Amino acid sequence: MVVADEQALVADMIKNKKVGVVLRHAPYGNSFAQEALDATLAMSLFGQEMTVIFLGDGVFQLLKHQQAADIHQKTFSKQIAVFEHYDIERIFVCTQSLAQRNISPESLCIDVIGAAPAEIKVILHEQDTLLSF
Amino acid sequence: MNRHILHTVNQSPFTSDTLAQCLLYCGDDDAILLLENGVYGALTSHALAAQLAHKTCYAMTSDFQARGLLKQDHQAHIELIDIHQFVTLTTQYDLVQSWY
Repeated sequence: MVVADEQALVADMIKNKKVGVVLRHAPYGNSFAQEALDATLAMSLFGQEMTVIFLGDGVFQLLKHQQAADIHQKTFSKQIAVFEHYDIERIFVCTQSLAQRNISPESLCIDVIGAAPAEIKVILHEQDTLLSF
Repeated sequence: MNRHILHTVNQSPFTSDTLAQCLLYCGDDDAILLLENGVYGALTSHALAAQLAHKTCYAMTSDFQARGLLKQDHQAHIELIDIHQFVTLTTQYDLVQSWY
């Protein structure tokens, strides 16, 4: 009974927490993008309110037309498309980071919300926890 | 901004735009902690030094000394701290954002 109470307490503590996941690295060169995706999907199943934010080179993760088979990796743009099945809708991308890399919104693989640095700043400060990848 | 963030930066501003990105999204009441190669950001000689002057900023003494940097070369407003003060800072801010 005590164990069940403690489990309920822990479940309450993590439930409805606003978790911001900040993605700043390009895919494939290291495992950050993959780890961020896995962590985001896992946490969304536990009732956290997930916000995903792509900044800097992280915006390269969103390019469609990725084909990673020849470098023996899973194609990231296809994996990221599952966000909508996990009800993760708060997905932001820094418009300045896109512009610096000459990436148009049409070249992205999923629907994202464009936000200027000042707006991203506000979103970061609204979270209960930040995870940076 | 309702919450205050402690930003940690561990890359040199001479080779990486990590510090520049941090400054772009850093709030007025936030703090920046320079550690590992990030301590090169405490020098006066890089392009972002003037921007950093408007921020509450700390640097790890151990990382600073390890790299042979001298106190006279670092920006006066940046406070050099030890590992215990680092831990205290993480408890004083609501969130920690690592820029690496």
